[in-house]
Amino acid sequence: MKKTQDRTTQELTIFQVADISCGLNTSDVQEINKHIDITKAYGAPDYVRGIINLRGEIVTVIDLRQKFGIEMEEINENMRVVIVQNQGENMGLLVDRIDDIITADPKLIEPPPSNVSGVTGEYFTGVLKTDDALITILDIHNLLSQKSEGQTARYS
Amino acid sequence: MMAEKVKSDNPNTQELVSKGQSSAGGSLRVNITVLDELMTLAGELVLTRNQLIQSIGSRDLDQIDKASQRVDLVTSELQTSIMNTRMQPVGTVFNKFKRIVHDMSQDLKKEVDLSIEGEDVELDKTIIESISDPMTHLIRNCVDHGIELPGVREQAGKSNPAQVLIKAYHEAGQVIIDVKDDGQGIDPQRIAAKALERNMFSEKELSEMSESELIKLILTPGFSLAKAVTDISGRGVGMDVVNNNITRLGGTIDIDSHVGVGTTIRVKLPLTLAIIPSLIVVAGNERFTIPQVNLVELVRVPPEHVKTRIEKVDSASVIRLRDELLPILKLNDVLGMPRIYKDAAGQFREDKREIIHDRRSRSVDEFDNDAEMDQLENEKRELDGRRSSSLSAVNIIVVNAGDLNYGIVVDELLDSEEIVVKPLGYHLRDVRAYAGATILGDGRSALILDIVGMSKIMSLKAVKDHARDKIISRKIESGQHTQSLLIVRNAAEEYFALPLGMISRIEKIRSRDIESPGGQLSIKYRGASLLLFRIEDTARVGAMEAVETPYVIVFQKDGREVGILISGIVDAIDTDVEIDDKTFIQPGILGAARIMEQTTMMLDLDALVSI
Repeated sequence: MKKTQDRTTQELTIFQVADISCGLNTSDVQEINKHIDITKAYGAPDYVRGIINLRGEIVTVIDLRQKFGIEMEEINENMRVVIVQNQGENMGLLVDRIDDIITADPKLIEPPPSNVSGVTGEYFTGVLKTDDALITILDIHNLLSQKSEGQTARYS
Repeated sequence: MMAEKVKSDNPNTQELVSKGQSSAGGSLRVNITVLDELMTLAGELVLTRNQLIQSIGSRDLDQIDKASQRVDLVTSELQTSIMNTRMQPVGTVFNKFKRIVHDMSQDLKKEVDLSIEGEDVELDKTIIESISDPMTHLIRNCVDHGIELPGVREQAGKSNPAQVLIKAYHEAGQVIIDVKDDGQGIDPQRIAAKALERNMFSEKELSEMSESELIKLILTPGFSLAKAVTDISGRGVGMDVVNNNITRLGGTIDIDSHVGVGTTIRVKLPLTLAIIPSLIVVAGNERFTIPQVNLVELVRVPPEHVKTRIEKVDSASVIRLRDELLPILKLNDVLGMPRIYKDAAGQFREDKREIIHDRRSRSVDEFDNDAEMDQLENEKRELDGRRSSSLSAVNIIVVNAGDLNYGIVVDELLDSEEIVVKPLGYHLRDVRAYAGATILGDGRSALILDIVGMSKIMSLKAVKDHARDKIISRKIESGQHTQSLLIVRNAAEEYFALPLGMISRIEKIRSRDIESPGGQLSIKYRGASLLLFRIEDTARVGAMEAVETPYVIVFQKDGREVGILISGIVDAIDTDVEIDDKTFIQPGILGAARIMEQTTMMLDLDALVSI
């Protein structure tokens, strides 16, 4: 895990997946893409929404709703693909909308409770309490490693 | 050439080469003429860019059109040249086999004479690098297990030294490498016995397998682990690894072996992995591409024939195609897509018919249902005033997956396009239905279908090997009299035939796109004008029936492409029919024959076209 240069504050990109507020260390985010023209990849694990053309590179898009076990949604104009890098590969996270980019004090981030909004906490490194919301900080490496909860490809 | 010599003699470089992809940081020697060519093209590209910018600036559509044609041309020339820099002769790999065979035959006290053909055949450097290991394995197997000791050979009445031939050659846009020996061959019965012993298959399953299927078992992983098989049958260690390596490259392995006579292992490889021509198809609203090397033919079964031509054998759907039964599968089912269909208004609707999740039972009655539906729809349509519709016709793409041909049912066929193969991310790498992804002309991504992988997902097998053997033997019996003909229609009930081999392409066009400057028919085709000719312009036959979408048969005449207009395609057939070259002869017509109960006139393509 990369650490931000400045240890006293941390920049977080906040986005919404269903009713969960998620935060991602901004230094992990390569870009946020709003032109989502996803080609569905049938036969792949359910949480793989499909692939997109990112300036000539084929990028796999992970549907975070599906990953969290929430019913998937039709693509709408608020949705964004957050491009992150994991194991040297660019990947897209499909989120419902981008909320904000905030600066937080890492000391305020608490370790995750065993159960966050009905989703098991294995994808979260911690929670951040703000005035009006509870933000869960995502652990992209856990989230994107393929061997999670036995959801392997249908045909392999 | 010299560069390759240096490479294979230098042990350090050699190691790099055998590690395949890891040599990405290495250097490559390129022929100076290729480099010069690249330089010229780069210059041309710059000029064309200037031209394009200028013409866009002046909004001159005509100039833009010309410039874009130029870009098209330069791009494809540039592509060819760059590909050429990557091409390396297979001799690089072959050279080290001499040493291997020499060393091994001394160790094993065998007499082996190795001959190598086609060292100059070129392949993309990534392929050359990746075939080194599997090919070495094949050669070692061949000398170690295939070739008998000199004494044994003498007893069997074979000459010494034993002959091993490695031969590379081009065939149908692929490179084929044969490793052929006159050793003891692989005994299918022993493989069967071993498979039974290891509980890989039941006795019944094994008894249903043909000899070639049994021999192919040595490519399965279970077999390679069994040392004992090596002792009996002679082959098997690591053959699954060889097979995997070759398949990963988009190639296939065929084994032809006869006990006591010898074994031929045929490795088919694509020329390049980077840019491949492919067909674009649609299934369930998504576009997919199928590499052209896998394509055999396209079959469209009209609604009224669906019931008679698509049948069931052992709960699998098959199509009867020129006396051969081909297994077919629906792309939607392979990929587990929701089933949709196009309704009368051309809208996609969810298929309300039973969605079958279970792959095993999926094929039962499926096509019968379809056929019945189609039948009903047809009747309805006929009542609706005989509107002919293609909505319920079945599009089948016949593909080749190594030793097996099968059909894929898709919703729609689009154009063919040259695609750039891009790797998939690791979440999708294990999905066997996909070989990669690409970006299409409109900027959207599309998945490339893995034809071999798909046949494995659906556990497809050839319908019956002996049925195929029968057809092949029939072809051999009739000798060179058989010819492949395309049967077409022009006037309503007049049928014509032309040799399939002469045709470059068949295009469906819209009749309103036909232009006639100066009385000469032509159409815009791939950025240039294609001259069109009618049959009735030369021959005294009925005039072409008026259709909205006529077909153009494109072929080469004196080095340029020309087209002949026809109203419809009837079929493509292999026939040994005798042609009567007296009765119907006239300019443009070579003769006639009775094909499919119809008097069919043989077209003289050259005579129909005057440039």
